[in-house]
Amino acid sequence: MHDPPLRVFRLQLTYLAIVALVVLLQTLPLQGLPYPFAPANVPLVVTFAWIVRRPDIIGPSLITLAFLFADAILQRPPGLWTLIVLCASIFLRTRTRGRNEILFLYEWLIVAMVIGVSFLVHYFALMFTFLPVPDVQQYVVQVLLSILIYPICKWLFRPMLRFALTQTLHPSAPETAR
Amino acid sequence: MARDRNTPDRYSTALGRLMLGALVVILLGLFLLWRIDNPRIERLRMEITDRVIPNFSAVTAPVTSAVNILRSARSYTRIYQQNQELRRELQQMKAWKEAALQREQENARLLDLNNVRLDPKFTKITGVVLADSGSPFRQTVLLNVGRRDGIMDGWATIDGIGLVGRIAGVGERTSRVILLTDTSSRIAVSIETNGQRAMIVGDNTSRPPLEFLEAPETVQPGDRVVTSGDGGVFPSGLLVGQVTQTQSGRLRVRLAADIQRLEFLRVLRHQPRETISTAGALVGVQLSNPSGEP
Repeated sequence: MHDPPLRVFRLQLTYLAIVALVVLLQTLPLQGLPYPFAPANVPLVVTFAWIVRRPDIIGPSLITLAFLFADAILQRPPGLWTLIVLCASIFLRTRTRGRNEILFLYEWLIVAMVIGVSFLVHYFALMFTFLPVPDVQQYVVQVLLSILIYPICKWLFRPMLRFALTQTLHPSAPETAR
Repeated sequence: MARDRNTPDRYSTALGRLMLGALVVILLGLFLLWRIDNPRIERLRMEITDRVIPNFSAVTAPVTSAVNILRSARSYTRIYQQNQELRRELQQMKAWKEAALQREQENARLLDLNNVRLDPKFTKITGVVLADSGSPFRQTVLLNVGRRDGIMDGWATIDGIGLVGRIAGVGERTSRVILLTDTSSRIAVSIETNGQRAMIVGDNTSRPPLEFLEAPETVQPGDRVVTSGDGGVFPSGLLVGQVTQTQSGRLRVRLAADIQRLEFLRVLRHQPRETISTAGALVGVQLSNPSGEP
């Protein structure tokens, strides 16, 4: 995967813009009452969908930047969720790297497990540092919804990321023949 | 594909690993620093919010108003019914208005008789809600008034009728209000009918429970709940809401403020009362101690 640097840069900017937009839209003062159920964690799912598809675009510094911003705006403990997402995405990357043709169900299963473990680690990290922990029932709903929207997210971003891929087909013949 | 494994990976180079390690250490350090020295980092967060949200609100104002218009449009479908309800309420209100006018005159007369100076707590600053917390586990809103308007931490916020929350975090142009429903909110209140003291403990539901009541059996659903002013954080006598009882018998508060739609909020200026700590210093010379102790 050798993209022209400009395209990589543009996709990186797009990623940052998407995460920032989702975070800021969440803060719109439309809902005053406590939520009836916890919505999915969209920035997390977007990050995972992108990193499985295009690991060359999303580097650790980009994830850190995006999630630190989200931490600051959404009043989360700064750094904790960022750290978890960073580690999770590195793990996801090593799991799926070099297997562009893995079965989607298998991919979904891995992503679901990573999402679950991330939320679990977050919960226990909050507990062990004596911070208020979220309501378990709502938390579980959030995990399940996050897992459920992963295919939608992947499908939404597929054209954008695939377009970049077709441009980058490696010209060296022997390798593509393999 | 073999090609992918052959390409040098950004993570597998020494530099990449070093950077990754540094990032992990920085993030962990940031979290621990926040845990240890909370106020300083929170101030930093407030500054970031202060930079971002007011600029962003110009973009989102159309979205917010569009959604609100849509919601109002939905209520047009039952306009006749609403009209009837409003007429009925208007009748009741007229009666109330007469009563209130009489009370007001009486009140003014009595205040004049007693030569009462009203508490300066009733000066207020009105702000517009810019954003909410954006998280299902936090109940806060962001106002467009901040340090430059003289807002200070801890001041009470009302929506015109009832208490909404308190200021926690002030930026240059914005300030954050922790709502009564947030899990970190604790407000000292008293039941108006019998003066019992209690706490309202936010638990992320729209009706926060009443805790630490001495005699819960004497409290009736429908009793008004007002702030007690204990602890000197809030002025006393602000309306909070009414007592309701859940099916399990637990006492909760139905908030008087319409927290479903917060648009404008008033921040009450409140200077903490001066506390009198020394006894007798006002009277004159300190009397000598008869027992001879210093």
